[in-house]
Amino acid sequence: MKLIYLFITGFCILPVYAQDSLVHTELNELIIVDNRLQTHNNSQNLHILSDTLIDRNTSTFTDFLLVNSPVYFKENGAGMVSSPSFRGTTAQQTAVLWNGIEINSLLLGQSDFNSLSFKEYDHIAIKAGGGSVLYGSGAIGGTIHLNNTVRFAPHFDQQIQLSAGSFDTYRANYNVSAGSNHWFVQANYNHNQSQNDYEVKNRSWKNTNGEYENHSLSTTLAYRINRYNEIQLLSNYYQDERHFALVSPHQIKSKYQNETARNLLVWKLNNHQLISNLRLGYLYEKFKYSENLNTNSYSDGAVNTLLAKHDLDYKISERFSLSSILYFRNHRNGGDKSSLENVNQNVFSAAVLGRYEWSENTGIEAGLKREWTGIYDSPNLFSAGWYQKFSDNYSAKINLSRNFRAPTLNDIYWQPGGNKNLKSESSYQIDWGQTIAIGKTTLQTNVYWIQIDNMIRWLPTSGGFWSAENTEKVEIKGMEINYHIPLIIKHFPLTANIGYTFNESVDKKTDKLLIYTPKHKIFGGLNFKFHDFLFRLQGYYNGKVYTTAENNERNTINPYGILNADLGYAFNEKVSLYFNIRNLTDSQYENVENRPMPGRNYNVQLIINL
Amino acid sequence: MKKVLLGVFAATFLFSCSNSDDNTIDNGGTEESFKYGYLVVNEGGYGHNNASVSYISPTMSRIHSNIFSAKNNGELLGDVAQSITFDGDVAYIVMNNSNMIRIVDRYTFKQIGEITEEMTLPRYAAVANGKLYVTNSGDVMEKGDEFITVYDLENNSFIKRIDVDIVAEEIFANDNYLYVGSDPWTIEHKIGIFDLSSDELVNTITLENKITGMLKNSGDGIYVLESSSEKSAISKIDGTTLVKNITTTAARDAQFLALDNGYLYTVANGNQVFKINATMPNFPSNPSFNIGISDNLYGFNIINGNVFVADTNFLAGTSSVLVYNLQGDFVKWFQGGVGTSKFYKN
Repeated sequence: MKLIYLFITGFCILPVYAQDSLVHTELNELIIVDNRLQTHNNSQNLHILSDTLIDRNTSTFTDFLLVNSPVYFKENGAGMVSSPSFRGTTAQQTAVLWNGIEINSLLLGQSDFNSLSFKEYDHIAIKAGGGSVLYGSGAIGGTIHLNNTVRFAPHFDQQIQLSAGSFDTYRANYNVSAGSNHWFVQANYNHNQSQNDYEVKNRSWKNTNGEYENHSLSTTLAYRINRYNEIQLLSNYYQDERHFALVSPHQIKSKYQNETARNLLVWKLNNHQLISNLRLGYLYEKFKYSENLNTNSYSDGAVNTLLAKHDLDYKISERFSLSSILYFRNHRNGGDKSSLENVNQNVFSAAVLGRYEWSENTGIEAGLKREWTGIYDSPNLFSAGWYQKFSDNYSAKINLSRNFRAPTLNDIYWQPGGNKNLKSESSYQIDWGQTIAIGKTTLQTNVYWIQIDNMIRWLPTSGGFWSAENTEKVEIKGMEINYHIPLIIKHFPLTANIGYTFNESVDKKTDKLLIYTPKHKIFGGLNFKFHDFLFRLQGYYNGKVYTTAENNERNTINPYGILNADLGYAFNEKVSLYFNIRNLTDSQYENVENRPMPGRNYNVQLIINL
Repeated sequence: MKKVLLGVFAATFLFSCSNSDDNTIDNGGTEESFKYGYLVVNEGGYGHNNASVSYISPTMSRIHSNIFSAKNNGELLGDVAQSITFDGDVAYIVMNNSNMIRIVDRYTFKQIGEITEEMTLPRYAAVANGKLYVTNSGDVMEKGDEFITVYDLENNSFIKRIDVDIVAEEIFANDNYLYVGSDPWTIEHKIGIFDLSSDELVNTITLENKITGMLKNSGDGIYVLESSSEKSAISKIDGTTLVKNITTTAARDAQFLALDNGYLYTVANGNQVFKINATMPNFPSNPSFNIGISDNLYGFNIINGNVFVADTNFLAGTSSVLVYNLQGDFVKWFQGGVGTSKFYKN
């Protein structure tokens, strides 16, 4: 029923896992901090991962999204650098947003999902498809949204999650949230550590120097001044130390440390005709790479970002609304052993958006955006979409957009090789989505075409170093299918979900497939609830990828399928226990060449709600 | 080279670098002995653990790829094969980023030992008096911390470390002396000469331009190639002194130095091969012949009148091995591995 209801709203959010929640939340009290996510994405699909699903996960963010989303990951061995990509694009063409603010590394242009905590978020949204008008640089393949929610209702909740697993892996998470009708306070502390020394079949030595440890602390403070005004202060601090696993046993041991801080002050005005959202932010990212643990030598880099962003949404009539987004950022770099020259970069962007609804079921939306900076050239961006629900059983949407990926600070300022004459990567995309309800099941399909020009790549120069250049042109044809099956077997709910993506991502110059872009990915899960027991089987399949641009058949990563199983038991409303087996079939696989992944491994997790 | 590696390393962070396992037409294994032919080093991509050695048969009828894995139960050779040094029937494969030296039987390619002690990113090795001298980069990001390690070849054990005031790269032992040349990317271009009986530095020769090639002609001396964008020069060192130097402005940016049948060869001005009599009467002002590539030229040697050229495109994946004759006529193409860089006579 819930499903059908959500359909009628026209949002097409698939609450795939909402029904198995052992922990009940009253959704209507929750406010998602990033309101754009809900108001301007009607012509594209949004896939929400609920807080219960996030709570129950015992593995890394990478493992979590592998089985729950169409995102493909290129992971340099378990726990190592892990870069996401959608729709046959690259990690730099995937934008990650924290409460509506892009947080991809300004140095690398991508997010490493093994260096990103996720337990503190109660709302993670996956949106495949272009979104640069709303979400800026990198929103070509898709966007991943990490959101905090605010809850103005009298409550005092605490939650403790403790887990232990194979390879000396321990995780702990503590969350406290309290509120009244005017106040909301939340704090979350998260800790992960692992020796990560798994055995590798047919190899005489274990995974070596793969240990990692990370912590994060995040806080949300919100105050509702009156019916119309609200102030929020969001902070997140993350720090990790990760050793880089050796590819050969006598290699020099190295490690990599990341530190990020994100702070956002939000003033929200909402009088139902006008929504104004002013955000002032300070972001910090720092890395330190120690190339030889026997010595003190290292290289590092840091970027400080100050930002001001103003969103305005004005309802001209019941059916028609206009919006604007003004966004200013300043980036300055730091680090005492950085390979970058001094950077002081200002970026300004402005967007206008409009939305017209004929009815609750039909509407159009469109937007225009331009970004200015003294350094690189950005294209004029647009998006236009139409959505219509034809009947209870069928709805369709179409979205056309132009998106971009700005050169990173490394691309521009790295010495030597940074290129001040780089253009942004620019991309056109057409996306046609359909949702078909067949009985209680739902089939969602998207077919898309993407063209990317001026792809930035580092190429060798005659001077003996590498340099960033705009080179390739890429064309991607693909589709995504998601089938959701809720069943009740003798009063016991069983839900199944299966997703499939097909991508053909072709370099137009050579007519070869891009490296590390699988044509096929399948992911899915089966949930079964029986009294106080929860059984879950999840898995994914990654098709073959080429590891060389020439697409030599001998330089490929073999396809593989991974299955995970969970058994959960709720002792009562407050205490539940989960037992998790990953890589059930103990398959020996690699995701990146010569970076073997772990075999079967185990985890237990205790969740206590106070 | 360090800068190149740094660049590559940066690039692997920046985007998905394109490298992979070696592959080719024939996966080794069939040959019982690799005697008389040619060994091809494919250094592999930094951090990809995909270095390999290929073998080209004496008649050049075929190439066998990845002969180390084929002869050692599928074991991977390692990460960045920098160089090979031969001593009798033994070959020492210097595995830079694997931080080890693999000791193999030169003709069967079966591993007979390995050296890993006290090494930090080894580059080149030389054998003298039952000892192995290895140049080490030290920290990649630091210059000036390069050093030499010495091993006893009786039991492959570490003897000592020699700190040097040279950004040490290539190393050769000839008669009573050890010659250590500096990395082309450094500021000071020097050859350090050590007395092999005491391992003490006895002389340092400073050159004007970056050292882009070095070789030993046993019983004759050490030849050193240096070049800039304006000129190129070859020097000959005998004993502890520089005995001869020839220079030309006709050859610019000369790189790779080969010796075959009494003549020295080097590649300058992109793709021009200059042929110089090893007695060094003068540096010719005209090239002897051209080779077909210049952009991706990553390896060059002349053995038995065959000109071996590595067309190494790291971005595409595997390399091509091109063979020319001494007139510059194209003779044969072979599929190389990843990052083909060096050719040796076996």
